[in-house]
Amino acid sequence: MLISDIPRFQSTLAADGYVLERNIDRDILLGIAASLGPVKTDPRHPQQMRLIKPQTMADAEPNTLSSRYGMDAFPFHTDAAHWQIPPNYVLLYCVEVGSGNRPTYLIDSKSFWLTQMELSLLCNAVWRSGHLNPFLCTVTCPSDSGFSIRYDPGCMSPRSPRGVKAANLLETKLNNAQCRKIEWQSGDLLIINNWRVLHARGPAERADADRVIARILIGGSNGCLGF
Amino acid sequence: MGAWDSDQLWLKAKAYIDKANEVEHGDPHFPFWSSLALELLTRAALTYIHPVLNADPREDSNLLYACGFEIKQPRSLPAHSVYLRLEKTVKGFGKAQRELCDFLALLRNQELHSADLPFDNLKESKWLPRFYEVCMILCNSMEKELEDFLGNEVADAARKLINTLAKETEGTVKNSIAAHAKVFAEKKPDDQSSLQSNAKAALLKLPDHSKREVCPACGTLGLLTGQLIKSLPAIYFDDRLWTDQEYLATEFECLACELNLKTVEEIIYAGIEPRFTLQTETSLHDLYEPDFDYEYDNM
Repeated sequence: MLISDIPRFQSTLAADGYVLERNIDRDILLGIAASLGPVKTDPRHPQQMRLIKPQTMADAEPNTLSSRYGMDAFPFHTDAAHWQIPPNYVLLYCVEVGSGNRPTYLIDSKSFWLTQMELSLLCNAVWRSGHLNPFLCTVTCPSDSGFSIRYDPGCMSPRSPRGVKAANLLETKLNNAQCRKIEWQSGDLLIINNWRVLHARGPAERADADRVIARILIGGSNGCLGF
Repeated sequence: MGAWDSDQLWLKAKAYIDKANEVEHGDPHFPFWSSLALELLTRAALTYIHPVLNADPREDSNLLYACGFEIKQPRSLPAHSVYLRLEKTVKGFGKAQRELCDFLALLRNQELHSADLPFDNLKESKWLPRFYEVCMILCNSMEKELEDFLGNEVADAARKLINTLAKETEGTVKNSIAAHAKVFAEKKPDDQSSLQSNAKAALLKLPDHSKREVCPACGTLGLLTGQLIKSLPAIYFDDRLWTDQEYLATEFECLACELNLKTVEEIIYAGIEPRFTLQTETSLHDLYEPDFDYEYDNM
């Protein structure tokens, strides 16, 4: 893939909420990322492209999905849902498939087919997000394309009875939604619209600390709320 | 810091009003949580115009914080001043609305700073219709709907209560009550007793969603019918599941003097509490062991 192919995959990304490209040269990842928006970093990991590997609970940093699930599968989530504005896009690049052949799963929130009442509940029920600097949020927000979604059971919890109703609704939608399975090959590039598509790390056939994914976060804001 | 961020204040106000709606309406926590939600909602509306309006002007640093500078422990405007500012800035928020906010703030302070129990025995008719009206005005000022704040079910009942604030209904209801009281008083004592005992007998068994209520015109027990607002979580006691169901009164009828109030607005102006709770019970045996029926065998 060349930089000149960017408009093509951007249109797939806009239509499907994600795009998967094979045999991508790692050197052009930051260029592709820059074409989608500003690259953002987590204060704990200031590098623009971060290599992530399955970790045991003992090795994982606190308040991460790995610290809760270890080498197991992760639930469907939005990346960096604890940011004030989560990254708009997440770019995942397979450096090493790993011995566990661990897939990634995607669910497009557009496939929830929410009724007006359901959307109203999700847009209004209050949740808490974050651990060290918690703040209040909703799971969905109205947007030009319908709604955007923020969901991570690892760092978000319902704050009210309406939030509990919203959580139950979301779980039902996730259980019934059609799911796309990504079986990784080295050199694969997966770009996810993080405001639309939830992703989950699948289970591994065996412990796979040798699985390496490069991750770049694009857009969003992890800073303080501004006026 | 987002302490004065309008969106965050709005979300916190919603979390608090959800807490209020979680409890039974006669519970003093209902007005208590509602009063806390209201203060947050007023500040959300004020900071929606500009966060600097929420700053206590006695210290420059508070103004700087409102402009986005990092200041430790900024002081916000006292609640009473928030309401005064809303009166000057938000369309529809006038003296009556400010007085309701001040009234609830006073009760809240009494609750938090003293051993008094100001929310106990607080009649809903005294504050709830105006409270919902204030919420609606503030929501609209932020380009939101009452449903966004209260949820669809509660907002529906709230809108009906807001309608009670229309003054003309009050006069009509008062006149009707006075007229029915006069006609009833002019009847012979024997006729009065007969009408009252017939009315009592007719209400020995109540229809669904209703309760007995004293008639404001003749004092006989009449029939108050309601519409279900919500069911509270069931409580298990004595081998049974008990559920409290909250109703919004929709009609009152006196079978003795024939006073008939057809809307919640009329019911409120007649001095009858607009919401009531009915308790239902379910036997666990009935729930899990339905009666056994023999299969049809054509014998």
